[in-house]
Formats: sequence, C-alpha cells, structure tokens
Amino acid sequence: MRFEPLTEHHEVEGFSCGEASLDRWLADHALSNQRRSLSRTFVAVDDTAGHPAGAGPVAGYVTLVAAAIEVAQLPGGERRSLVGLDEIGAALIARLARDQQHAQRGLGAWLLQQALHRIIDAYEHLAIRAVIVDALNERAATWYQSWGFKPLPGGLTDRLWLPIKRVRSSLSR
Amino acid sequence: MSTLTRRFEFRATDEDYELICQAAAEAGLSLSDYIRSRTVEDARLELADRRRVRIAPEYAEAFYAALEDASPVSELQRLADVPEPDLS
Repeated sequence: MRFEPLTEHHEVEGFSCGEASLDRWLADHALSNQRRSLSRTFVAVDDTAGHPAGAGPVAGYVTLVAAAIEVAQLPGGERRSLVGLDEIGAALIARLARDQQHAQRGLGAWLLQQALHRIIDAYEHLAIRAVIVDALNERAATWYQSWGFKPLPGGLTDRLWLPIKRVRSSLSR
Repeated sequence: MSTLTRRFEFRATDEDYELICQAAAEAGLSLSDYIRSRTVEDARLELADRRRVRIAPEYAEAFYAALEDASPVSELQRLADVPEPDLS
C-alpha cells in the first residue's frame, strides 16, 4: 500500500466512500485546492496492482490543512502565563475517506495513522501545537473518539482535537 | 432519517427555477429532496473548510493546560500498531 500525494494521474472518478460530498470533493476539488496550496491530499493506492508511483485507483484519501486555534482573551484583558499566545498553529485533518469496496480492512485507521505521522514530521519544522479533526457526522465523531480524540473545549461537536505532544508520544517508537 | 420539521421558503427567477427543476429530474429526486440534499452537502463542505477555531475565554485556562500534556493516549497507541492493509 502506498500513501502518496494526490496527482493528476490518480484515478478518482470511480471513488465511492458512501458519502457523496466526500466523493465529489475528491473528484472535483482536491487537486485544484492542492495546486493552490489550500490543502494537501494524500491517497492510498494498492501497490500490488502494478501502478507506478503517483498513479492508480484511489482506495482512500486524507486531506490536511493548516489551521489556527484562536484563544479568546480573558475578561479584563489580562493574559495568563502564555503571553501573546492567543493564536495557536494547528494541523487540520479536514477529510478522510476510504472506498466502500475496501471496508472492514483497516484502511481508515491506516490512513489516520499515516496522516498523523506526516503531521508529526511537520511539527519538527513548524509551530503546530494541536491536531484537529473534522467529523462529518456523528458516526465519524465516534470513530475519531475511539482513537482518543476529544471535543474542543466549549467548541462545536464536529471538531475534535488532541495536543500534538500527545499525538507524538503515542505514535513514536 | 430525521423528521423534517422546519420549512424554507425562498424566491427564484424563472430561469433558476427551471434549471433546478431540470437538475432534480435528472437526479431522480423531488424538488424539495434535491434542494435539501444539495444545500446540506454544500453547507457541510463550507463548514469543513473553517480554518479557524475559537476557544471561549472560560475554557482558555483548561485548553492551555491540555496543550502542555505530553502523555500518551492509550487509544492512539493502538493506532501505531495498525498494520498496512492488504487490499489484494
């Protein structure tokens, strides 16, 4: 299995994850957003099928986006120990999906694992302090929570998160 | 499916109306089902692209404390052991 950046040579038209908006986004928007550096999409491709790197049918994908967490000022304008740190860099897993024909094979978990490893790599070079995931629906939220992600404090329930330090200590060997 | 309890009313041009009716027919959906499904889908995409998340002041202290926590997450440690899937 390869986990590689989406290219124009990957086959995306037949992708069907059961959620039409995720299928359409991959087919219609993922590559153009990537070209404009609005997001980075990585795809999973079965490397036993003989397709060269950067090509082949997409079995699953994950889209990563740079995000920010704004921490509102405390009443009275007084800031606590982290003076000036009211905007915190974060990595957002905006979309994650696998083709229905590959259900029950652990592909979704593997995509999440690979995405988090890329984020940990980025953390070595960028001021990322949190990982946020977008849960499209309640089932997705439950799935992310099964991997330890928590609702953002006081935030919308479709956004879950973990501190990058906890992600790194959990996945580092 | 959840019960449909809310009602929308909006005006459209003749051209837009005809276009939407034609697209709904092509999709094999009623006008209401078509407009609702497409609008909900677009709304989800719109919200999924929010790149800024706001933490309210009352949660700031707990959030900053959580940021410094570097302890492993047991559920996520299981993810480290997930093998490469075999799709063949």
